[in-house]
Amino acid sequence: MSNANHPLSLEVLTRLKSGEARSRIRESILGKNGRFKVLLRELGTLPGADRQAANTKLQSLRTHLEHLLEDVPSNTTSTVDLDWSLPPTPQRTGSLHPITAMIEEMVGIFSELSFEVVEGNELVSVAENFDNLNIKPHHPARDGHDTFYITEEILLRTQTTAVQVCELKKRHQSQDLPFRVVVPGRTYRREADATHSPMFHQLDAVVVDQNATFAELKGVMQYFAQRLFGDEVETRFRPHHFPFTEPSAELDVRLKNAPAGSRLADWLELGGCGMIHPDVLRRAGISPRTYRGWAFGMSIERPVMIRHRITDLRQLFSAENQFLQQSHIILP
Amino acid sequence: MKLNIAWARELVATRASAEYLADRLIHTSSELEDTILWPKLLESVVVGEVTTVTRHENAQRLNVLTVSTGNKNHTIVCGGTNVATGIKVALALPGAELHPQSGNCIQIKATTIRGTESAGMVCAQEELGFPPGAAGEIWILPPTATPGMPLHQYLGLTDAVLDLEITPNRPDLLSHLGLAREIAAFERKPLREPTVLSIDSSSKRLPHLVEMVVQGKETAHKAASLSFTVLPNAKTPAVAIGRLYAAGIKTVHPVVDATNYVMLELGQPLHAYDHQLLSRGSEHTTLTVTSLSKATEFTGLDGKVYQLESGDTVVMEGDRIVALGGILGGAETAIHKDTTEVTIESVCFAAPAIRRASRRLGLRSEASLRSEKGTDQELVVTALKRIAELLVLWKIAEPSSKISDTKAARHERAHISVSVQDITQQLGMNLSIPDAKHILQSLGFRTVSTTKSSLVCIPPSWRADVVQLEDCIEEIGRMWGYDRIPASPMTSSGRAPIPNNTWILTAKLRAGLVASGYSEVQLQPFVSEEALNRFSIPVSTAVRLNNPFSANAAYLSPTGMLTHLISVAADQASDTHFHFETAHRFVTKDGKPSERNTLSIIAHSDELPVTLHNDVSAAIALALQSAAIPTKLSWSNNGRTSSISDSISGLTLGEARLLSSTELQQWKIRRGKSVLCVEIDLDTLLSLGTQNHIYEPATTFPQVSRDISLALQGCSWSDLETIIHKKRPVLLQNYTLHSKAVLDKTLVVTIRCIYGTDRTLTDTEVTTAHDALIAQLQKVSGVTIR
Repeated sequence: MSNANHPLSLEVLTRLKSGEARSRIRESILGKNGRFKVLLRELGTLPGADRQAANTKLQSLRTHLEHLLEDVPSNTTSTVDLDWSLPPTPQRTGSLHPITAMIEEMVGIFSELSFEVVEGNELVSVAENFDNLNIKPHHPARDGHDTFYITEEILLRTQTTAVQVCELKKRHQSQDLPFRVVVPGRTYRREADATHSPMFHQLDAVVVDQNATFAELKGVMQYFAQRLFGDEVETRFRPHHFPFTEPSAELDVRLKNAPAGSRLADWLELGGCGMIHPDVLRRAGISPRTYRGWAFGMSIERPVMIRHRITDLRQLFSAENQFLQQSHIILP
Repeated sequence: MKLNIAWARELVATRASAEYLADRLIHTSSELEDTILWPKLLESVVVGEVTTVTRHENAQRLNVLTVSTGNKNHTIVCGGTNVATGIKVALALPGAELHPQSGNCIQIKATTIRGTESAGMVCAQEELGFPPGAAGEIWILPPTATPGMPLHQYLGLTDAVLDLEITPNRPDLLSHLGLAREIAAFERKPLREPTVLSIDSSSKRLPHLVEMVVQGKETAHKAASLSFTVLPNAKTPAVAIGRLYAAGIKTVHPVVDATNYVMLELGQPLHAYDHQLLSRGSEHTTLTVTSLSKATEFTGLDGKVYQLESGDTVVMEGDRIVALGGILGGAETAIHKDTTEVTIESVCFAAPAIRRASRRLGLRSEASLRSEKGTDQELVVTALKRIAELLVLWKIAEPSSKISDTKAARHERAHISVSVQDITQQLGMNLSIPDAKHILQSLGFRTVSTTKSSLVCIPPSWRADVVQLEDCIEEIGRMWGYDRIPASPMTSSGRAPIPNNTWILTAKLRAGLVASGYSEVQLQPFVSEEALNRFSIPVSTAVRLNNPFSANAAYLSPTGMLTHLISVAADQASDTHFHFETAHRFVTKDGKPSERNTLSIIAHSDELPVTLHNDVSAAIALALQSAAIPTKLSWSNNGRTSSISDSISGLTLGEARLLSSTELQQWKIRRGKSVLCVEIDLDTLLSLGTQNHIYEPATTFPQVSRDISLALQGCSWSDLETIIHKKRPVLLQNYTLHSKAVLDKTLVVTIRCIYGTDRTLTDTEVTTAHDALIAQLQKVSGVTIR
């Protein structure tokens, strides 16, 4: 029993990697007709005392060998028929519309700033959509070229700002001031081409507070733009005119290191904003000397088109699976 | 508004670059839409003098010209019909790139035309990017032009022209003077107002006085007139031509060109009449600005006939309409090339009537653009004095009358008080009164009193938009610079927000449906009457638009099922659609339009209706579960339709439809066998609220399940449920539809019944209860135990 003349040294055994080879060797040594069985059988030929000593040695060697050869890691690939790299069987997957996803994201940002969500009606009165917002009867926006009328008095809202004065009144009457709301929803205008849809979406953010200032409007909208487009975004507030805000501004955004082809490489108008016009506050019964407010309004489609690089707005309003389910296709 | 920077520099002495000025204008008042660089656009275009004209040998309509540029002669083939020896022309040399307003860029190269070499092009105005001249003619420059001079220099177009978007509240910025005032304010430079000719009204009586009269406040605030005698050989100076062209305005007649020049400069539209045609020889002519009392026809100086309506503002001489106020002069009194006496009218019209008429008639001129937004009544006389100055300076005409003007309408100007506190409260920043005062004064505001903490100001006549405190704050804020106002974090409102359950639950329902493999769509709600009929929706229940795009889109669909169907039919590329939409729907109720919140679903595939129904109902159930809405939907069996209700409250929640193969053909849905659609009223559904589930400890006693298989013919699952609910054995804890299959055209369902109680049941107890239930179910007609 010397290691030197044995073809299988212990070192060789410990270095055996292949599970198959190990089990073959195990069989050949410890198996039914293995060498160990032969050795054990040969024990009988030894004299009593030697037999006892040899047996002890043999049993200890056996335990050692069993330990060495037993701890074979089971290599299943060779024996189990499983291709781990297979993709899953296609299952029907659903998707949220990119407009809804955008609205939910934006509402989420405002919700974190304690804004409450108000949706309002889409059928509104001429007063709600226009008069209350200082849009006078002869204003071009009021004629039939831009607005869908149901009756002379009722129309499909052309802006989510139509919710504003009703909400202001309601809050004032229920002594629910100050307040901050975000108003997402559908709006309608009588125009249709690659960049205009008769039905589209807007989002307004409105704050009424004794401490509301233009500086706060700037701070909140900068934060909003950063959350939406990332920290690389730059913002620019540019004077503009809206009948229902004074002072008024437009918010432009651009990215410092815009990716190639991005429309955010240059300044892009994100939305309009300003301090709520004192006459709008007065119309709701709120004194502009006690409370001030600011409002921001934007279209949802524009950031959706920028983010997803959609060039034809009309695609957003189709039911084409090829369009809707693109978000599931991931190419390397 | 196209701001010619070179022109603006005459009104405010600034050396700042056009680029810098554009950036400051963006930051203080007007968005930049485009920058037009004439020196670049007119590169290699020079003044030339035609020295010889010979007919082209091989082309009837072409001439071969020798054009001198001072020290060099160029041979040019030209097709212009008005070429002649001695004329001055615009010559584009090889290398020039012309940018006509319509059409593509023209690259000028030396080329051979029908065998004759041509070293450039003699241009028409249009080819240079200017307003078109007469068809087929080249542009003949004034005879004073110097051959060889770069054209842009000759025309004074030496700097950029900024195309600015002027907001509707700032009609005062529709002029070079107005924009120069803004530049002067932010550049802190004085404004140099254009010089005017002083016309002494008390001097010798001039013969051609035309008296102005205004009838009614709704027509005009102030009107004035001044007459001139046209001088022989009157020519519009090159710089004026350049400035008009850069603004996109054609040159017509030196006097008319001067009226347009003054309009661009000051913002006051002027109209020139042929005095003889206007007065018809009478010594006393009166022009009346009035509101038309009845509809009538009017021939404009463009030769077209317009239908005027009662209420339109017109200018009348006797019983003749000589101009459509602020929009268009009349053909009858128009200036022509032989006009010797002119009368120029200057009116501050009341804007609304002008806007109505110009919109209705589709006449949007540079004049109407200004008049319909409202001009400054204090400019009315100034503009006449300015044109007098120019006409004399340019040797075009001499005044032949004094100015006749009407009394200005009374115009109360607000005294507005602005305090440091007001500025802080609105803008969120501190600004001193001297700073605020400086800004306001630089914009033409008068300050009538100033203390350390406040001031009182009066806005200038051209700022009708400034009437109260906030308007002044805007002026201060924008001129100080919005970019210099700090961005502060949001302060606490001091209260917790109230969650909007409709919003939250709708989002959960959407997420649930997406998880079940449904894709959300956003569909246009506009449908035709025919579509409503085809979907058996009474037209009277739909909301009709007063002014639809077309008859095909005249109604708002009262149900999302219909718009889903239309859009699925339009997507022929797919044979399966599992879509949903949450949207407001509109219905006519008691003659009034009303609105509700809905969830609509469509399932379209090759599967059997039973499979589609299973898919949809499972998806809805999952969505309801994920929103924790305490409801169990019950679907009624009405053939191809089903009414969906809440089995707990009995409230109707919605409806569902299965389309027949005939209907599929009608909708031209050629692929996919079955279409099932559902609409649920979210207002009602969400009124059920949400449920907080109370958890019970898991039972320690074993439950026993037993299955029953039943074949159903002429009997529905809901019939079985009714019996189970009525005759429910005490030990039956729950039951589920374990499986369903169609065997030999018969629906076979397996119900798994779960028995249990607060102790361990014996086999006999379970068997007794289960057999009792089977016995009850067997009594239902159409049920066979399998």
